[in-house]
Amino acid sequence: MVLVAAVTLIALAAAVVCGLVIGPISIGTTRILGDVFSHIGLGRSTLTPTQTLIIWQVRAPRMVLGLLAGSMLAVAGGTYQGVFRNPLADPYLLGVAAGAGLGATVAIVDIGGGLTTPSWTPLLAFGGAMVAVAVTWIIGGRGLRSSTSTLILAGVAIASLFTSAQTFLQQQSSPDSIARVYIWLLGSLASASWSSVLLVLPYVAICVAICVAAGRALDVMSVGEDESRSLGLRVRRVRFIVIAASSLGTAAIVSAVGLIGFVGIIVPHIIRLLVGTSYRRILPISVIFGAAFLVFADTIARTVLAPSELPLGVVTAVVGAPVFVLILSLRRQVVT
Amino acid sequence: MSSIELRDLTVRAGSTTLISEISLDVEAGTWCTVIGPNGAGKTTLVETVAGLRRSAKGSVTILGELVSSMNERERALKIALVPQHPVVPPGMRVLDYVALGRTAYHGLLRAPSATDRKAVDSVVARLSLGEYAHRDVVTLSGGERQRMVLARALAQGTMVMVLDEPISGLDLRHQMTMLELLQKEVKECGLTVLATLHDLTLAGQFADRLVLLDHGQLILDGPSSEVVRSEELAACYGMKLRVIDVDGADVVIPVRR
Amino acid sequence: MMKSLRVTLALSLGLVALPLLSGASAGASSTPQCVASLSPTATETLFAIGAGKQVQAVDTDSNYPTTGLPTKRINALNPSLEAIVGICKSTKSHPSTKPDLVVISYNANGIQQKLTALGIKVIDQGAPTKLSGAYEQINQLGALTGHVKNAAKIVTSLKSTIASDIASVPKHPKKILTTYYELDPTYYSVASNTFVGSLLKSLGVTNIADAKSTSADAGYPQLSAEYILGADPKLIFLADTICCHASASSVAKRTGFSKVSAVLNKKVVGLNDDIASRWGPRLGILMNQLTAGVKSALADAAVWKK
Repeated sequence: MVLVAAVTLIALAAAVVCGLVIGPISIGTTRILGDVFSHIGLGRSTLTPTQTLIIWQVRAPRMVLGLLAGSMLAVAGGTYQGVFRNPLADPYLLGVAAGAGLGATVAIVDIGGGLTTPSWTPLLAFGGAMVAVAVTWIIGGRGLRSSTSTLILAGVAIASLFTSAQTFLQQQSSPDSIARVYIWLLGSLASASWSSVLLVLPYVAICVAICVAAGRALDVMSVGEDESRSLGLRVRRVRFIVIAASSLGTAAIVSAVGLIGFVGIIVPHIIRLLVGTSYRRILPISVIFGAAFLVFADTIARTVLAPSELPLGVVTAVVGAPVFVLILSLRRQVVT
Repeated sequence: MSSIELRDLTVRAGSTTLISEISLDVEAGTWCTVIGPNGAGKTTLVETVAGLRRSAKGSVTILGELVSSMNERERALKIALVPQHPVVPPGMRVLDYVALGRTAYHGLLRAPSATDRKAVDSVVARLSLGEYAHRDVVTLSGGERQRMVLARALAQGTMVMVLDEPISGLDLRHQMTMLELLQKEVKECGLTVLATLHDLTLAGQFADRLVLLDHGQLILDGPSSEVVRSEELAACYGMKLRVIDVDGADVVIPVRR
Repeated sequence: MMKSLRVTLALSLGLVALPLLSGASAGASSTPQCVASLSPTATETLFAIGAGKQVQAVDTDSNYPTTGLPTKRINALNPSLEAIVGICKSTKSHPSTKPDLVVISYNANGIQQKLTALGIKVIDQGAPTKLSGAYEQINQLGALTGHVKNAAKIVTSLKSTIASDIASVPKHPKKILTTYYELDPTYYSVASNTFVGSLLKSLGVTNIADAKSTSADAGYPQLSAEYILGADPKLIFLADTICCHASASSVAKRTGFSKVSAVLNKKVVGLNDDIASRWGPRLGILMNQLTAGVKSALADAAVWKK
């Protein structure tokens, strides 16, 4: 466990360095490090003003946003897997993705013409995501019914509803909008700036903290609802808090970077293989690993075809799918 | 004041009545076993007493407090449940599983205290689970697993325990072990037990009182030796029953008509 | 860390401002040496007015002129902030890698605000709704890149081509020339409140898409085969010949279309997708093609036979 924690921290540090150092514009590593040190008073920077701009105004916020997104998605996925006791749960289970997609479509398609400023897209995406989760929660029985599968089914229904509404809107609008919405949905950190970081930071910080703190409760819940209640767990309240925190944080991230898949489902599984089934361990390590994973994926996304970029969702899927298959086969070996 | 008091307890599911108008008192430090045919409502009764089901009418009082007025944590400190089909989470250690019983004490945001750890260790020792303590719970056999679930319930440190078919699926040796362990807790620690059992002989031998349930209604409530010999019991099961005294113990034998 | 970032930002802005100020006072040319065009139309215009050498990056859809385009490409729908900020070659006369001017036609992910916040000049030249808008954009690019005269020449030439095209269409008060303009094989069309639609309107045709367009579709209604067959247009323009291989023969093969007036009288005109979707210097070519189609339909007696 300690070993895994140490390795993930090292991976995180490496990711941070990659995020700052690697990019389509090559700036020497030593010069970058020199610039970093100059900020804490050691030596002087040798970067040009534009290079400083690239490092601190473009790459740094992108890297930080990547860390925030990766950690939030990973911990939300792990938390959902714990609450629903379902290894296939991911942060978009309760309709967050469909809701955000609908919200973003409304903004991009510019219904009514009053939404020309681009700041509407993240706002409406966030709103759409939260509405979808709220509707799913209410329809799914408010977590009252014992069966979490009711909630999951409600999520599937709401997602279908919102996705079809989105398709309808796109189809009604100009052909351009289809491409624009699609690109947004694929997920990207390409236009990250400090303003986008500051926008999501409070949500992500609080929600990640809540999810990690819920580790012990999720361990208790692994014996099922009835037994958890008899052990003293307020199942309904815990479920609500945990789902609310995961969904809120995920909605904030989706509104800023679009839909990035696989992080929420893959990272907790990898960590589970390494540290066992206790959520008290899985969740905090997933936070760190998820952050590192996404920044690495983003580094690949923006260097493979530079100066063009691969959509981030494509990279996480291309990396994630084989890893997923590998994990599944390992699991089968372990069980047999 | 009895440890468990049921007053006119009625539980419904939709339009079906599962149990109706059951009144019962279980004194502190006694063992009351509920018997009856399948579908009689035994599990419903146990779950309602444990607070997992809401009653349509009537009340359940544990140690003077209404179950319906307590929240989960308060209930967990008063009454523990050993379910018929416990969930066995793979990957969890036996020790951690038993430690779940202390959740109501240290809460969800704090680690178990020294007191909690001592309680867990003592229960593990009492139930001879020491050699399995660090093993994955799925690697335990049926009998060991039931002991483990009992250990978790004991770790809750409650005065009252309800058990639903605690020996189903176990071989004879493990059946006796479980029941003897439970008996020890009742005699030595004053635990109040409400259990459901299928085996009429074991039910009679290990309980102070027997309660006969059929179609959700309380048919008979009395000392074990009386209930096993009653006509109502035979009528319930639709067969002749003979009770033979073997070295002081009542053995109930079904006889084909 | 935030504090040192602010300090760094202040320092960078200060350091950037100094050479700009000194440059201005020393009379150094204000013509931008590094322009990034994220709009295929703007790319055509920039090269047509002679600013081609100043363009160092274009978007992935820019494909005209066929030679001379820079190799550096940026995805206009998902533009990379870092790629844009570092796109220019650093030379003695232009040490910064930041472009002097970025032209966009769609503000993807708020890229305009983000680039502006980093001190880069951005202009949004989205699709205009009227011809005058297109001329304004050409002149604007001319002014910004120091090719005012060339831009004015192009605008004048376009104006005269279009004016003579419109004038060459004979008055036809009795003839209603119903026209269908196809954007893609799923029958997306353009209403008269779009750019192309306004060109068609200036030629006096009756656009069958107008009846179907509402405010929701922003001028791009999707028609149906049934509707088109019912309207029985006398003239069809195809703007999807390249993407979707539409042609007079492929249209004739569509169910029911063989009996449509435009198909029967061979009045199905194929347009080059790119020329038909841009509003730059090749506007004259588009207008010529539209006009030729209209005149041919008006002149052909078979079209008006009862």
